[in-house]
Amino acid sequence: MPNQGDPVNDEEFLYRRAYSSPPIRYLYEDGSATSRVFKPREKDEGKLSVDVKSLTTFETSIVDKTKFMLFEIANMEVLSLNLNTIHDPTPNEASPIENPAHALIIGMDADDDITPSLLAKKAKNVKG
Amino acid sequence: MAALTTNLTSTSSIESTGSYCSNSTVQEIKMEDRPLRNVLLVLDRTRFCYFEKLNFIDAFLAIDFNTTDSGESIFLGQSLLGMGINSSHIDVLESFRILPDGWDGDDAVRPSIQVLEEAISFTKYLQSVGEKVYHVAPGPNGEIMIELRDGENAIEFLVYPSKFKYVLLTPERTSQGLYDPTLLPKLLETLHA
Repeated sequence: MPNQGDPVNDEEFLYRRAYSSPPIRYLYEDGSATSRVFKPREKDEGKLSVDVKSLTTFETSIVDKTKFMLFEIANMEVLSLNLNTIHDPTPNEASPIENPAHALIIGMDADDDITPSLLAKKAKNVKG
Repeated sequence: MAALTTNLTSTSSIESTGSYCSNSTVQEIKMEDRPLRNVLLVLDRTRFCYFEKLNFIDAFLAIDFNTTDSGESIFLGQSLLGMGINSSHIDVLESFRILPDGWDGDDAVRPSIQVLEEAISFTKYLQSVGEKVYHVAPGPNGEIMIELRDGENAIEFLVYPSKFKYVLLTPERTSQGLYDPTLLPKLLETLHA
């Protein structure tokens, strides 16, 4: 089991979960991700929550198929944008939820609105 | 009613699909030599009304030089320019007024009324100049994204609670910055290049 802060293997794939209610338009009509799906919250200081695909399953990562969609992105693509991905298994001081696959994409500047767009373009909608 | 005069101040051409407004040129409308700001006028032979507030520009209307009719009917024709092309997106933005905090099933911040009104106003402005919006979406930090696309080129306008940004994305380059209305012509030129 990886430890907190360990780099995620370059060859891994990552899952990013997004709210999928059509009226809210968080996603495009074709189900692909808008840049907002990959925009970190201000309180998260540039860290973006993902799951490491090899350490979880589609069903576990999506939590609720009626509310969310999963997007998959290769860690290599993340690294190519000068970002890093580190393991952040939970529970920990930030979250009480049991999720050994949890990881963080780090290195995004709070004012950076280009990188979320590039991540969204590289991500693929995953069907369970 | 105050006299309405027109003064040609710009020569930018507008392509219109409206039957009333082909071969149009942008003009600034002045009332008694005072520029009208933040209004779009709809006129015909019997009506004179404020149609829409626009926060980002002076009032610009298109004049059809092919017509031989009176100016009033020309203005009514202009009001059809772009009418409705962004109406579905405006409806979606209006629906965001009831988004709660945590609308994403997590802890996203709801867009404020001020952010929504700025986003709606900007979307209506884009409509008034015939620029079709591709998508609108809320963001996790209380922002609203208004996206334009043309082929592989895209512009994201991001109305945050404390700033208004643009992100330009083309296969050749990406850039971002604080939005200023004076940047719009160049941004749209790049989008449609």
